[in-house]
Amino acid sequence: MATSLFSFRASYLSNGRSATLQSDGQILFAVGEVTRPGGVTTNAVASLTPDGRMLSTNSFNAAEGNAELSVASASRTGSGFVGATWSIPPGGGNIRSFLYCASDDLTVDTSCGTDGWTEITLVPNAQHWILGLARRNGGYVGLATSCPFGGQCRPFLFCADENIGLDSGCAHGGLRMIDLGSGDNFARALITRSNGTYIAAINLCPSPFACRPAFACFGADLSPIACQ
Amino acid sequence: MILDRGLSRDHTEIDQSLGYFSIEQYTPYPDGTVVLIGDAGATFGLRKENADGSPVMSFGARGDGNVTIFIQSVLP
Repeated sequence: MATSLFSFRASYLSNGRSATLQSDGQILFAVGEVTRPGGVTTNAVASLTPDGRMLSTNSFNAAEGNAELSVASASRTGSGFVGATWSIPPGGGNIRSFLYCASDDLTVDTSCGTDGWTEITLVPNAQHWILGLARRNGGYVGLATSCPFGGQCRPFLFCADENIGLDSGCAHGGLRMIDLGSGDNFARALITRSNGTYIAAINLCPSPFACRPAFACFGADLSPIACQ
Repeated sequence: MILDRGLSRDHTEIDQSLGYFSIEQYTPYPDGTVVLIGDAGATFGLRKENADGSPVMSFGARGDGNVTIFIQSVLP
C-alpha cells in the first residue's frame, strides 16, 4: 500500500514560482503549477502562516483545457493576493497571459477585473508572456514579453489598477516598451527596490543560442533611469 | 518582490546541504528575512533565510527552515 500511495502522489508534479505576503503580513501565499497524471497543468496556489505552516491549497484555470501556470504574485490592498498566469492552449498554440485576484481562501475573487481575471492584450497580434508583477502606488506594474507573429520578441512594462484593470494613466498609455537591442529579448523578472524604483531582468538574445542577461531600471513613473 | 541583496559582486550561496532547491523568486519579510520559492523536486519548495543567508530554523514544521508543499489538482 505504501508503494502504491507513493506512486500516486509522485505522479502529481508541482513547482513553486512566486510568493507574496498578504498586506497585513498574516498569510504567506505561494503560487506555481501542478501537473496531473496525464500531463494537464493548472495553476496551483497555497497559503501558509508567516512562519511556514500549511493552511490550504487550491488549483484553478482561466481557460478550461489550457495548460496554466502562475508565474508572479503581489499583495492586494486588504486580504488575498494578485497572481499572474500563462495560459497555453493544448498542442502549444498562442500563449496568453492573465492577471487574477485571489481571496485569502485561495478562490478567484470575481469582484475583481472581469469575473476575477484580466487578460494582458496590450500589443496587437502578439503572444504575451507575463513574468513579473510588483506593487505600485494605486495598483500594480507588470513585466511581460510580447512576440508578434513573425516579429521580434520585446519586453514591456504595463500598469494595472487595484482592481487589476489595465491603467492607461502611467507611462505612454499604460505601456512602456523596452528596447535593448536587436534580436529577441525576453523579460525574466521584475524587482522593486526599496526606494520605489524597478529593475527588469531581461535576456538579450541576438541569436537563439547567444543570450546574455541584462538589467534595465525604471523610476516609479516607469521612465528609464540609470541602474545605480 | 523587493531586492536589495545580490546586486553587488558579493553573493550568498544557498546551503545545499538542506537538499535540492532551484530558486525561482524570493519575497521579503518586514524583519529583513526573505522567503525563497522554487522547485524542490516534485513539490513546491519554500525556504526562509536571514539577511546573511543562514536558514531561519523556526520556519516550517521540520526545524530546518524549509517547507515542501505537495499539491494535487482539484480540477477534474
